[in-house]
Amino acid sequence: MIALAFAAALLASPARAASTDTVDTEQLQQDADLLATMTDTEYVTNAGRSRVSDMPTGGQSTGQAAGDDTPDSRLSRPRTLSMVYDTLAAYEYNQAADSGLLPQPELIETGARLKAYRSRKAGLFADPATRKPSSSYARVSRRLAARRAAVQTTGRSTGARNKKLAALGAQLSSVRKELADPRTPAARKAALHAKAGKIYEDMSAAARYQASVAVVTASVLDDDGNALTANESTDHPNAAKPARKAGRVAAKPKAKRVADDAAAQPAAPAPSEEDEVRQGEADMNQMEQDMHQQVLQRAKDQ
Amino acid sequence: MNGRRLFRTLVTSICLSAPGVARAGGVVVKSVGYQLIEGEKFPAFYAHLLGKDFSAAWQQYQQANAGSAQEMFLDDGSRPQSNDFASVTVENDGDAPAEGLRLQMTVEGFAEPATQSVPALKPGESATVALTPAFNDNIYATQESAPANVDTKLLDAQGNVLFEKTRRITILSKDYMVWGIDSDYDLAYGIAAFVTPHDSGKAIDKLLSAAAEKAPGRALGGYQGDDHQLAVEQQAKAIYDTIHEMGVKYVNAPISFGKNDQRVKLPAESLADKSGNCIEGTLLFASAFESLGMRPVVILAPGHAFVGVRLWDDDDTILPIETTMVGTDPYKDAVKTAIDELNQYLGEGTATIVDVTVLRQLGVTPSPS
Repeated sequence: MIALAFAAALLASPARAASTDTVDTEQLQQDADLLATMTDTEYVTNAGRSRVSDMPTGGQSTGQAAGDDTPDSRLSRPRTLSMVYDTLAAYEYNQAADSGLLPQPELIETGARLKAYRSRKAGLFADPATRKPSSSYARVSRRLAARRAAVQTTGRSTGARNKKLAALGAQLSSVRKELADPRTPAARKAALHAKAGKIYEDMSAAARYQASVAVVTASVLDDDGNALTANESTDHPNAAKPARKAGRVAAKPKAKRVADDAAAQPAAPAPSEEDEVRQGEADMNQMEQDMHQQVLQRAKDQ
Repeated sequence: MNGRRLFRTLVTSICLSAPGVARAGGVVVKSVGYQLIEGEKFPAFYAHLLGKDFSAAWQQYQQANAGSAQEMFLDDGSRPQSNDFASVTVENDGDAPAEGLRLQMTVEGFAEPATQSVPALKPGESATVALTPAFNDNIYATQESAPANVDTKLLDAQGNVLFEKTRRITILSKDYMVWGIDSDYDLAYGIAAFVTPHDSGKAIDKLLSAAAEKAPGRALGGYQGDDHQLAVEQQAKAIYDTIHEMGVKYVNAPISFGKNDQRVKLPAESLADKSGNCIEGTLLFASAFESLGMRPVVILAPGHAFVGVRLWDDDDTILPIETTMVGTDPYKDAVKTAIDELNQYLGEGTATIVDVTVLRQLGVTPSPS
């Protein structure tokens, strides 16, 4: 239902190209809706197309096309979706903080979240204050162009419905409705933006959860329990990669679990996204502790 | 009654407040709250998990495994929380300090008395004291739900009873799984208590002995070998084929995950009965994997469950197996089906992965059997 409504909205308005100046909430929300309703395979295929003047050239996988080794090229669809939601969350927190109308506890919380996002710009597709998109956002947007066109043509989505995202989307709609009501007081709107930020964060976590679970692609045994070789089964995880040792899924050390996106891609000397995220979280924790201390100190002073 | 509504009325502590139920020497028992479902039921499987500080354990785990702990649960609400059987709030509304007070709680026939000191209370002060009686083996021996009296006493320094209250409760037999209390899934981690690799009847040991005969080298070595997936799958197939040959059949009884409580057979019982539904088959396989030192996961989705096993100590990749196919289909098909299911549930956002090994670290131990 949501996807169809979204498709109708797209049909009713001209396709939006990624702005080079700023990217607004509506654009990001459309990107999120596209990502949420397409398959992982389709996203990877689109990534291959996007590097050659955005024209279909075949099914190259992400990162293999034209030596695309930028960080975003190693992001899976769920991880990209998670980053879009993170960016939207940062936007909402920014709006809430800018108002200066939040009550003290909420202001502290929102400020802490916003600072955490600002400190990890690499995990966002746009600056929450200026809304200037990152260079990686332009590439992601190009990847979505084919899917956007397909939705405009058919009105159909291809991916599975994520019920958790749908439930959170319903909460968000309720917040948006109240925000759009001209009778809503400014202070209440500030609180609603903070609430929307939290919902987007939950959506990001739901998308990231999917990306974090690694599953084998197929059994490596034949009916007798012997090891299959790559050319014995098209289902075999190594069937398309005969150079790899048959019967083995690459072991990922614990430190690399979250960076599942990168596992299937050629090695590239790029900054570790998980390190950035971890650093961001550490900053956030420190920030929250500092804020807490300030509040305690203020209370003592009073 | 709607399952969700059923559990909304459950256990939250201090929910059964009874203001001013006792007044003695200026000390008032403000409320007595119990961990009870619908205000009267207590699941036996939860008895050995009471009193453990899961929140602290969870925080420690997160710090030690930054970046990977999120794989465990979809919902924050399904993380283990701190829990106690009861909590009692005492207030001193007299003019003199109250000292030397003690609270005592007994679950008649099922637990030894638990005694807890009440902090010294100045006039106007109150304190909430957690109480968790030590349940004995009787609670695990109940085959059917049984009534019990919970007796709460407030004693002064001389042992005089200042307040006494008896509440009638129902002990749910140990095979009752409760999926959620405050939310649909917040007790889902408790299913790990039903994974019992070392049952008293050695049923899992016998299963593995038989399975070893089918494994390469006639041995099941857990995480040993150069080729991780191959090594794990050869053992998984040996277990699968052995259970198949033992004649264990799937019984079509959907689980009520996220909706209600339900009776769940422990693995030894499933083997003895040669039957099980999806969650029971899952627990059987998970117990076998854990017994081998491997890292099983219970994959839950609304109405369904199947098993998975991590590929290695340091590799979280999941090999899923659809255990309901064990009576009818070959191992390879059960894996293929499970891979499709898991990817589908993940895509829908309805999969909850209960990592048994992590939960053991947090203190969710196997249910005594």
